[in-house]
Amino acid sequence: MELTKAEYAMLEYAEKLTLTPRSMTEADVQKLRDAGWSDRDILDIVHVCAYFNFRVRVVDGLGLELGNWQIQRARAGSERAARLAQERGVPMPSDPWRVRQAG
Amino acid sequence: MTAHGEALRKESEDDELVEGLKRDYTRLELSPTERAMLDYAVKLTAAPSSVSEEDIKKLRAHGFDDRDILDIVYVICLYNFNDRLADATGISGHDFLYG
Amino acid sequence: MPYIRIIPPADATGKVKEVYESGAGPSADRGKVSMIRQVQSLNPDVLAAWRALDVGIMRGESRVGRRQREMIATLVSATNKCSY
Repeated sequence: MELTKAEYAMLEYAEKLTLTPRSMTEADVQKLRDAGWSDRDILDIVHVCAYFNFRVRVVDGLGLELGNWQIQRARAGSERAARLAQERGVPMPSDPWRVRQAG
Repeated sequence: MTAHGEALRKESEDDELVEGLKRDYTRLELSPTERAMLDYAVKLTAAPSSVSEEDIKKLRAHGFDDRDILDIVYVICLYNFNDRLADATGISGHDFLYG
Repeated sequence: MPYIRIIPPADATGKVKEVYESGAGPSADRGKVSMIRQVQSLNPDVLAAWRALDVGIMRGESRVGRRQREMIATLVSATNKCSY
């Protein structure tokens, strides 16, 4: 799975906004524009990111757990990805659920 | 942190409360119930994955029922959203209030 | 100015204008539209839905009092070191 430059920029932005919101600057927005996103696109990206920071806290705050069907589906997907990585001879991240630390 | 707290200032007319929350809420004289509510808010904001059922039990022990807890979680979530929206778009230091 | 384009109250039409004019927050008392709303204006559907959510959470009926809800809001923002 190759990400486009625009998608990579979007994800980098979402990670930074989640982990260190205080550090956001106009340069971060400019990077998204340079990658081809419009101001409306950027607002939508910010909304999704901020909304998932909302949702994560509903889930953690109330201790919601995944249903078995969700766990099974996620596990099956993870196994398919691992097989694909093996076929291609590329390493799989050891823990796909752990968020990388800000650095 | 200019706009934040202004709605509370209006609601409570208590400058000490507003400044205390911005600086160090642990030094405010609060009821144990309110202190428990605020401890939970800080934990869910700073380290959401560290929240456990024990934290919910603590809130219940202070008299919050499950509906109250849901309402508290939503306020915390809303401001985690608002803060990211504000920081992402650089409306920091603006003198307009939330609302 | 915000990093992204916004629709200022003077230029608002349709749904955006409707939301701007239905303000319930402290800024509405001063006849202003809060920046946190204006900055959502390029997406009017989300602006309207989020405002309804905001009002429901912060001003809706609850045993958690208005003052207590604003205490949480202030503390969450302080914890996030939000500069708004």
